[in-house]
Amino acid sequence: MLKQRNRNAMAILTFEAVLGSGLFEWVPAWLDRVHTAIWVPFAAYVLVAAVLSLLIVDLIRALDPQKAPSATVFDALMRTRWLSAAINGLMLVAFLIYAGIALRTAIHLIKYIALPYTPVLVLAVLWMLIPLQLFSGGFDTVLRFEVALFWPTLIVAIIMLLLCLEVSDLANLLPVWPTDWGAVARTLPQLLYLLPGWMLFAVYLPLFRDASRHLGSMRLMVLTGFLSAAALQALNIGIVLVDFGPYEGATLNWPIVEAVRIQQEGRWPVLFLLPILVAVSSVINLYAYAAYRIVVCYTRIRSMWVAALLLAIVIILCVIPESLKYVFSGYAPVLELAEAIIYAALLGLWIRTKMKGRPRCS
Amino acid sequence: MRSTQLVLKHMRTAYDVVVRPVPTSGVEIVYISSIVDLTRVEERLLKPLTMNPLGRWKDVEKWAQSTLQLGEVQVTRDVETTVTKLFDGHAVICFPKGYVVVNVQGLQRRTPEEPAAEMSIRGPRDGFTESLDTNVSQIRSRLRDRKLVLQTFEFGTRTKTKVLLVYLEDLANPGIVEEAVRRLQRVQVDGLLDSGALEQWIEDNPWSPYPQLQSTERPDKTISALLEGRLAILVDGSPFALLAPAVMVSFFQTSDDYSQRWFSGSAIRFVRIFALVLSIFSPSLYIAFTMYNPELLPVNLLLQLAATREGIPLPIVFEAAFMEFMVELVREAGNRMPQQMGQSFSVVGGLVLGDIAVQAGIVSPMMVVVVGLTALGAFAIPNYEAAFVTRMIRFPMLMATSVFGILGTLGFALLVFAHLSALKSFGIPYLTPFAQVAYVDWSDTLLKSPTQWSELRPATYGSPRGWMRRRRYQRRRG
Repeated sequence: MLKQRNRNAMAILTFEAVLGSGLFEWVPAWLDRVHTAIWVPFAAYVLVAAVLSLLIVDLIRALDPQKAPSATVFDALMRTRWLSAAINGLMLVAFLIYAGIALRTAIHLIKYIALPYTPVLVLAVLWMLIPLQLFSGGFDTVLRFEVALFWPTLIVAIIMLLLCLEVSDLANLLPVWPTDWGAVARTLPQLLYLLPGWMLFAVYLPLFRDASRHLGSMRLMVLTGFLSAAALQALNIGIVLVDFGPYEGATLNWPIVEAVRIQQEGRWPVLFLLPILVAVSSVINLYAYAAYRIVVCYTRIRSMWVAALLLAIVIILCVIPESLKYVFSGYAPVLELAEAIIYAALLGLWIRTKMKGRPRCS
Repeated sequence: MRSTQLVLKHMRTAYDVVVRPVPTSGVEIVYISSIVDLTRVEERLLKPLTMNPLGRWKDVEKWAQSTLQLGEVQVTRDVETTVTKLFDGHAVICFPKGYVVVNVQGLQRRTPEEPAAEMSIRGPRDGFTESLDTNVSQIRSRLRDRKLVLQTFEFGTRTKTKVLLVYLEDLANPGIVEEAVRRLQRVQVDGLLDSGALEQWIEDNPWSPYPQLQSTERPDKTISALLEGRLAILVDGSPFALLAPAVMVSFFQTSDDYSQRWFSGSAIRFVRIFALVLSIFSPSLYIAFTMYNPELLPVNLLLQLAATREGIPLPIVFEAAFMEFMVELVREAGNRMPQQMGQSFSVVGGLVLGDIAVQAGIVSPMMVVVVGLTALGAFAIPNYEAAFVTRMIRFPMLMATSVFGILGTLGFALLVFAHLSALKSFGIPYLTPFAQVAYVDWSDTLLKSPTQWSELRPATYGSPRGWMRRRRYQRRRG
C-alpha cells in the first residue's frame, strides 16, 4: 500500500508551508529599503530559515516513536503539561490569525484583479467550504489535496513567471553590492515576518514521525522543500527587479502580478491568479487544520462542528479589519508576541534536548 | 406421494413445474421445465430410472452413483434445500423417505459478443454475458493460475443471486479482500438483479457522485485488473464485472492502451485527458471569457463572438444551460429508443435541432460548437459512469462561473478536488498515485511508458510487489 505520509509528501508540505506564508507582499518594502541589494536580506532569510528547519527536524528526531501521537512537538517533549498547553494555545491563536490573514490577502488579490465588487464575506465563506470538506477526512485528506495539486500548479506558475522575462532588462540588477549596509541591517528584523510557516512544522512533522520510522532523510526532504520554495521566491524577486527595477518595483502593491500584467497586453493576471490562489488555499488549509488538530487533541471532540466553528473564527478574523492594511497592523502585535514565545520555546527545547543527550532514533 | 406434495407446497407455483411419475420405480420426478435441459432429463434421468429402479432407501447413494450418469447428484431429506436446488435448474427424484437432487441445468444463454459500451480496436472481441458460469469460464480460460480464488456469496432472500468475489490470492491485498468480504456479508436485500445495485451497497461513500468501483464487460480488462492485485465481483445475471479498488486514473485506461506501443498509448490517453478537461471546462470557460474576462481572448476572436451573439435574446448562461440540457435530452432519448432509430434520432437531435435553434435565434452558432465539443469530450471517456458524472458537474460549474467568472470555475474545481481528496475506494485514496507522489507508479497513469519500464507491479491498488522484486533480484544474480 502506498504510504500517504512519505518523504516526497513531506518535501511538498514544507514547500507549501514556506511559500504560502509569505505572499510576496514583503517584496516592495524590501526593495524600497535596500534596492538591488535585496539579495542580502534574502540570503540571510534563507540561512536563518535553513537553520530553523534543521533545528526543528532535530527536535522531531528526538521524539519517542513508541509514544502516542501528540498535538505538537511541545506536547511530546515538554514535561510541564501546563506550559506545553499554554504554548499550544498560543499556537492555536497564531494559526487562526495567520489563516485569517492569508484568506484576507487572497481575497484582496481577487478583488484587485478580478472581482472588485464582490463582498469579502461572500468570498471568505465560499472559500472555507474547501477546508470544511477536507477536514472530515483528517490529515491524510488535507495532505492528498495539497500534494495532488502541487505539480500542476507549480508548472503553470513557473511557465508564467519565465514568460515574464520577455521584457526584462538585466541592467536593473545593478549595483549588486549594497551601497547602504545600514539599510540592509534595518531590513533584517523583518525576516521574522517570513517565518510563520515553520510553526506549522511543530504540528505536522511529528505526524510524519508517527507514520513512518524511516527518518534518515527527513532533514534532506525538509531542506529540499524549503530550498525549492526559496528558489521560487528568488525567481520572483529577480523577475520584479529585471522587469521594473528597484524603484518602480517598490511603488507597486503586487509587483509580481504587475510583472505578469505587462506581458501580452495585460491578459494574464487572471490566469496567474489561479496558481496563486491554489497556493494560498493550501496554506489556509494547513493553518486551519493545525488549529483544528490542537483543539481535537485537547478536547477529544473530532466533529465537523468543531471544524466549522474554527473556520467561522477564521472568517471573522478575515472580515473584521476594514482593509488589508489594518489586517497587518491590527494583528501584528499579537503575532509578534506569539512568534517570539513559540520560537524561544522551540530554541529552549532544542537546547534542553541537546544537553540531556536524549537517545536518538535512527 | 407425500414427499412430492411437500415439495410442491413449498414452491407455490404451478406454471412450469412438472411432476412426472415413474411407475416402474415408484417415484416421482419434479423439475421446472423452463430452466432444465429436457433432453438430459429424458436421456440421463428418466431412462436409467425406468430400467434400474432403487431397491432399498439405505442403498440410495450407491444406486445414484451407478445409475444416474450425471455429474452433480445429492441425496437429502431436507425439503428447503431441495426446493432451492429446484429453482437452480435441478431435477428432484422424490422417494417416500427422501430426495435425490440431480443437476440438469439448461438455461438459455447468450453467447459472448463484443461489448457495445467498451469497443476495442486491437484487443479481444468477447465480452461477459449474463451467465456466471460463462463469465467464469472466460476468466479461467485466460488465467490458468492455481492462486485464483472464487469466493461464492448468495444475495437476495427471494432472488438467491449468486455473486463471486474473484482475486489472485498472492497479489490481492489481504486487507482489501477482508474488507470486501465484510461489506459483501453486510448486504441484505430481497432481490439482486444487477451488479450496479450491488455496487451501491458496498461502495465507500454512497453520497459521492463519483463511481467508486469500476464496471467492465471485458474479460481481458478484468484479468488485467486481477493481475494488478485488484478484486473482481461477478454477479449472476449481469454482464458487468465490478473491479475494486477503483482510482480516478483507472477510469481513463482501456485495454487497447496496453495492446499499443507506448507512443500511441500515451497519445490516446492524452487525448482522453484533454477530452475530460474539454468536457468539464469548455462551457464554463466560454462563459467566463465572454462575460467576465474578455481580455483573455484575442480582439478579433472577441469581435467575432460578439457578432455571432447579436440578436440572441437569452443571457449566455441560460443559452449554455439550455443547450447542455438539450444535449442530455437527445442523448437520453437516443439511449431509450430502438438502436437503429436511436442513431437517426441522435443525428436529428444533434444537427437539425442545433441548426434550427441557431436559425431561430435562440442560441448562437459558437454556443453550438462549444456544446458539441463538450459532448464529444464526454463520449471520449471510456467509462460510462465517469463520463456521466463529468457531464453532470458541468451544470453547477456553469452556475459558479456565471456568478464569479473564471474564479468561480477554479473555486468549483477546487471544491470537487477537495471532495476527490477525501474519497476512497476500499480504503485506497481516489487520487492515488498522484496524491502520494509515488513517482514510480506515474509511469502508467496519464501517459503510458514503455512496457519494460513498468517492471514493478503498480502499488496503486495495494498489491504486494514481491514476485517482481524477486525476479529482478534473480536476474541480477545471474
